[in-house]
Amino acid sequence: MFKYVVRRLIQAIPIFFGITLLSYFLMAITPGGPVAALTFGSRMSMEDIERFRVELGVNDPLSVQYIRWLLGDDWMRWDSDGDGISDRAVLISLTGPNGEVLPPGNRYGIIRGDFGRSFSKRRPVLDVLIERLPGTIELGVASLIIGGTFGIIVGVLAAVNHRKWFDHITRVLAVVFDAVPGFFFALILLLVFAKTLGWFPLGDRCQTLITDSCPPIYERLEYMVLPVFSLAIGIVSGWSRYMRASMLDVVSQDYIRTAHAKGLNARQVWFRHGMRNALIPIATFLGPAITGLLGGAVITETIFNYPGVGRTVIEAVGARDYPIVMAVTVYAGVATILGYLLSDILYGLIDPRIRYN
Amino acid sequence: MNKLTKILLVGVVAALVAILSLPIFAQEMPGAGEGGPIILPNFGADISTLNPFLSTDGTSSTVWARLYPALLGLDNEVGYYAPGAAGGLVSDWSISDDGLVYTFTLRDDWVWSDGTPVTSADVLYSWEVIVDENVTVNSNLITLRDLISSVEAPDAQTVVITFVNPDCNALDSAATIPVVPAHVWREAFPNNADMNESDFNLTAPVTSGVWRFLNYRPGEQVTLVPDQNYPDAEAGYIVPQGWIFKNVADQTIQVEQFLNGQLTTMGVPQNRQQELLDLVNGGQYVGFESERANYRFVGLNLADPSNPQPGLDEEGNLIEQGIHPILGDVRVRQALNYAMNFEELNEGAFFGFGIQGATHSRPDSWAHNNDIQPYPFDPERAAELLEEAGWTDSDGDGVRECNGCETAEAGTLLEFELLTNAGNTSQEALGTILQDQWGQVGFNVNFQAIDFNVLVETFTGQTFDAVMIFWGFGFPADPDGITVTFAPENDVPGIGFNAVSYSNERVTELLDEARALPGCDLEERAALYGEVQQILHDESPWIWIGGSKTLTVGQPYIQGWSPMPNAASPTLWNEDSWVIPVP
Repeated sequence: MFKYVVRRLIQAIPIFFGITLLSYFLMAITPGGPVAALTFGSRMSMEDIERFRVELGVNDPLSVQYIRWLLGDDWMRWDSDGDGISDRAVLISLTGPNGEVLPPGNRYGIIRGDFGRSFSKRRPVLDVLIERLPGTIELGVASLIIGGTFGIIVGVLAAVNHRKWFDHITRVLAVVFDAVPGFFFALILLLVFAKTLGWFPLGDRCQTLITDSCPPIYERLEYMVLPVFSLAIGIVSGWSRYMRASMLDVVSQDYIRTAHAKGLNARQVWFRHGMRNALIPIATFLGPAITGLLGGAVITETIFNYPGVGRTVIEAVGARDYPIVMAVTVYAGVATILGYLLSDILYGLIDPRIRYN
Repeated sequence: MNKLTKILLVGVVAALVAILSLPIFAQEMPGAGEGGPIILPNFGADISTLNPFLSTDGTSSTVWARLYPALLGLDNEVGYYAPGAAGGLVSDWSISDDGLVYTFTLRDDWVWSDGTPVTSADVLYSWEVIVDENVTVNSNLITLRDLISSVEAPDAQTVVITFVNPDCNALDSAATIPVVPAHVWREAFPNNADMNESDFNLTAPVTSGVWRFLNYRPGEQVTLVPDQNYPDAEAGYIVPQGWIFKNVADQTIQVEQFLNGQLTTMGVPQNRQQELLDLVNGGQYVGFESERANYRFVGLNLADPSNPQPGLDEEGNLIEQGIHPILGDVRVRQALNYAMNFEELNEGAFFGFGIQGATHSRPDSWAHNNDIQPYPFDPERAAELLEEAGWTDSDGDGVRECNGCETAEAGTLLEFELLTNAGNTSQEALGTILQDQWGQVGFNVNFQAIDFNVLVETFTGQTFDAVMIFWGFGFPADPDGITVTFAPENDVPGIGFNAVSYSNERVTELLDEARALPGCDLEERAALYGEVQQILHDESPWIWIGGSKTLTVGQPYIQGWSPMPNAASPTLWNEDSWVIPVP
């Protein structure tokens, strides 16, 4: 297993670089760069605009920009004699648009954990994202746990009640909730349960007060109900269908028939022998589901006014804030790679028939 | 019950009533910082910085403008700078005979929140930052480098600003200089350039104004609390316990949160304006309608978009730029005006709240020429002009072709591309309706709503045919600030605002004269600007569509809601004295 994991990780390296290379170039060649909007003023001179371009690092060729983002620029322009002034440079220029000597490079690149600074917020990207992570994590984890649990239960019960009314209803509902766009469902939830019935707050993460932060989760659960429901319903509908199919497949196996023949009661057969084995394919969904939550969060956070990474990504794309967009792309790429690896490992651990060599 | 007992009983009851009434009366006018907080929606991204030198977005400036004093205060009654006006540092000023040197006397009752007096040293520090080319200051401040030759501080209460040229907009320029606590900022940024990238930019430990900075909760809110040192408080002290700028990412949710009482006041999105206006008229909310709208204009490229050239060469001589094959002919541009039916645009895009524009000037500006009327809707006149210009529909397909036109080859179709930014529903509606209206007189308009960044790049790059954008007029209304859009020196591909490549010697002359008029008499200046407006109306390098009235609503319980149409912020000018119930 260890060798398998190492091999998979090594295989993931070129995939990772492929993702970053493709994403970076696609983003950078998109018309309408970050400088145009930032410098849209009536009296900006070409020199002012060039200074902005140098500061943002978008004046260099695309390949150099990518290398800087990946490996940093502290080795591209540096101070060799220790007087604080740059005196050596490779790949990039030692001087600025007006001939002034530019300061030594201070980027370390994502390889060394430096995701750069946000163009629009002028702060380290990681700081910007980490600040917003709690909102996304609390929604994501809660919806995954609730959605996964209910999805499995509904799937099992649908299989147990195969071709009965529960099975029919849940199947129809699963298709409906899978088909309804997330934003529309979220708006309907707000309209019915917040605006009309007044059972839950109209968005937000907590009550707006003069405080330094939101109170602990257990004091503001009412704010989480609708966004979590909105995210979880997709998981419930997807997982319940897979679980139902898996259960129906398992219960047609010989060992289940044997268990029945041995006189075990139906509950024991279904849940002890059937469900445990039917869960195995579900493990493959776990990894990708974690990644998928970020995609759902983008819409859910906006509609429920829930502060998180999703909303930040939307803003960053609009502002052509390359460092933030790339950081999230890297996160999504790594999470996808690791998610699938995790699924494969879980598969091996749960199912003794599967052995990785 | 004897008489004494009755008197005692009445006395006790009266005392009880008085005691019980006390809190009620006390609630009417809470003490300093004891009123409920003001909660405003922030429909946009988070603040990017609280550093006034770097700030480029409206969200950030909404916050930092409340934390640092303005050099010049505005008289809210007239909407112009006045000596000693509330919120401003300057108590008086004088101007040298040559109009170049402005000497400002500072008030002595302003202190920073750490107790240090606000002095001319703070203004001087700001100027040092502005002229430091290593600091990436915003474009408004970069402009000042060309306009101001020096800022001096001969003593703690005096600031002397010397301008490069006599300039009737000198006060506007001076007012642009932000004032920050030099003693704190010098320590935070040993080199000015350190502020380009610093976490300090998201804090404001020492401020001076109505509010002090409490916190910034990313993605959620910015919270300010009262600074009771503020010398110009309407009630003698700041009443609300705080000011919260709360992120609300979706306009539908914003309106619903307001209706649910979660927001104190807000600007109403256009598509909900009638609904909220009805509620205001029904007495359920307080409201204020303003004509200080964002005006939508269509810029028509007069030069050859396939070969963008600057307006002037290095010696300042006009450059031959080539002509736009369709829009280069003034008759075609006038035909577009005559073919525009504002009634339809108003119904379809402005929900009936539209105000038609006759020129680029804001109707309530002192410089506005009231004699100019918008082009009437006259499709027949539009057709006549097009025929006259050599554009006819010889094949009967509904689109005219060049048959003797002066700007294009014979057979060229009368078609062009109209661009606007995606996501702005009213502009998208305007574009669709205009496409149809202009199509009725023989134009083939390819309308596209594109990403804002791409639009800006295309616009400044001068590779477009027609671009629809909106202009938010600055305040106080500065006619010169917007008319530079028509000067040839601003016709520079890639950066200039005169992206339509308009050039008219008389207009340039009038603008220069109005800006440097000795004595800066408003009536004389208005006449000069009025002539500019007439020429621009006739030559139509832009189509001045118009704007839409805006509605700001507030919760009915706000005590102190007293909008002033001429104030920089008509509804929030006295927010420091608002009485709101504590949640």
